[in-house]
Amino acid sequence: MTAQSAPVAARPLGEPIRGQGYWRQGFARFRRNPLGVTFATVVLFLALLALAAPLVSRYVTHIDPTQQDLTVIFGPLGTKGHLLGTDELGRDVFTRLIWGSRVSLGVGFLTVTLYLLIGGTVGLVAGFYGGIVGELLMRLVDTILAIPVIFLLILVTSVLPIHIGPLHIEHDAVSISIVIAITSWGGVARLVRAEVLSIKSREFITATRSIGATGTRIIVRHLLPNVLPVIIVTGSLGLGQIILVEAALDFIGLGVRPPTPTWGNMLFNSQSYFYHSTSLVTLPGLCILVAVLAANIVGNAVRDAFDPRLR
Amino acid sequence: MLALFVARRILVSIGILFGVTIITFSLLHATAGSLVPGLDLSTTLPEDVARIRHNLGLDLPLHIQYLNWIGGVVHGDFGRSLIDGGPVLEHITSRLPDTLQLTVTAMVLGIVISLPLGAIGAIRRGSVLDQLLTLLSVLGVSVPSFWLGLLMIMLFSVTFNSWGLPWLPSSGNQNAIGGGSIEDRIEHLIMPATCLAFTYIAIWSRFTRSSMLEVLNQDYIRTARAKGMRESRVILVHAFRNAVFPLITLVGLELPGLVSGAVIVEIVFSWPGIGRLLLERAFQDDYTMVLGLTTFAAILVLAGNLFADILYAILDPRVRLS
Repeated sequence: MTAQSAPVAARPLGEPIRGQGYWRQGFARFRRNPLGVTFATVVLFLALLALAAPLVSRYVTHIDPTQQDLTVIFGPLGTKGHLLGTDELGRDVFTRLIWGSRVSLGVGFLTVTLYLLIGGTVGLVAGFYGGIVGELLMRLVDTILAIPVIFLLILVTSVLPIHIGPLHIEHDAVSISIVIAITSWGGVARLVRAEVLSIKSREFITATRSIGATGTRIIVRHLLPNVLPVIIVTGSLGLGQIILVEAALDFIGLGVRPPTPTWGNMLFNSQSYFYHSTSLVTLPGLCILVAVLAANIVGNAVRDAFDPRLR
Repeated sequence: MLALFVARRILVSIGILFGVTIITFSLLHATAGSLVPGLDLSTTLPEDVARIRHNLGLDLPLHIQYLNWIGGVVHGDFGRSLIDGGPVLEHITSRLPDTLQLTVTAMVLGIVISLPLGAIGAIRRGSVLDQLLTLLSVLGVSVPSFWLGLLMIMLFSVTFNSWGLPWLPSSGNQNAIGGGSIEDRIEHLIMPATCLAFTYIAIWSRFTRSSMLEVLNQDYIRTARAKGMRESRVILVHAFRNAVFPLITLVGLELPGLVSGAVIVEIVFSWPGIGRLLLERAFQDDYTMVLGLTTFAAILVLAGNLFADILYAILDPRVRLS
């Protein structure tokens, strides 16, 4: 207890000074941003809710997201047993929205992870090794970025299902994640490569090289930790965008398809029932808006806290 | 020097375009294979199937098919639709004006609204108005355009109609019966264009604000104020003009969006443009059409980037020397 308040000189030899590192400082900066913290809580809450969807079904609403009840179609908000009303088949909207968050957030986090992995690896390799391989990789990035994302997504999703060996890519959440990830890693690769190029020429890399470190070691131990802030900032700024794109795909009928309830395909469905129920239109959209807004605000806060170029 | 730079950039773009066509072509053909849309294999004689596929050139090896197709593209022939047999390029050019009508209107709306909003935000920095505008722009990039579109339709078409108020048409670009007059077309354009402009306003007003803030801190602004110039003149003549320059490049980056930026909005409002064409044909397995549209869009993206690069090179000599 007293060790923490002891003067620095009394610190045992070899023990690192706590609380001075880059990440610690970043987190401290993030915590000082009330907006960021608030909306990070919102994202966390939504994520927990998504994880708990089966529990909500079982213990709270006592109903399955696909269970129909034709006696209560288009039930308004506050219908008995249906807090947020029912849709054209009498399915409980509240339960469906909760299950929908599973797809939106699940696809969001998975896609971001995947595209950071692909883009980060390509950027690191292309930036560090350069040469023919680097050149070819960056031309591939140019090629992918030359096709408008929505065109590429429509093109790929319209030819689903694709079977590549044991991999079946269909209209389910994981597949859509993979599709979005492989069409949108180009930007990350460019950013990471640019960062690597600028770090590569610094003295500490030359020093590492001069003591005989291998390429892999330099990448993993020295470059990766230094480009990690760029990767994390890009990822957190991308989450909201991915949620939007996924919902848009569901909405145009090329993403995750019914019977799996998603915010996007619920909205698509609602178009036919303007005259029966307005809440069928407003609620799923509101969910998308809240999730994307929260993700964007958190993304901005993370950038402000961690982007080395702003310091 | 400039000629060399331009020539190199054009060559690189052509190379990338070939990459695009190879990726899209192989993706479509590897997955769709030799499928002919609308051909029911269970009721068609095998020799008929073989004949139809032969006529469409689908029985040739994949690389020959690609070379045939790309040979046509180089000569401006994107092949024929698998659904109606019409030339792909004709379909595209017949829909393009409608898409441009929508996107150009939205961009003009976006510029006209975002410039003053951004400037006001910067001048009244930290005020309630500024915070409101900030909130609006965060909302603007977070709101799904398809939902915004649906809400607009629900309010301005459905509800206004039921209240007996003047209402806006919810789909198409003109009335099917007796439509096509200027007023009719403008009526149809209002909602989709506003919906699309929303995002532009959100992004560009933020950009104008930060650009304006930067300019307002410059020495020459202080000088202008110090010599007793009226504040309105300082803002309009000295600050605003300089703050707008960076925005030109940002708008330039959106040039490809003139064709591809409205896909979702076109679908929501049944606007008969490029995006709707793409989705319709994608659902009908009209692969030549999808391929043609994607290639066409990629050509425009590359042309846009090329244009921006060359413009940079002309404006900033440092670029072409490096």
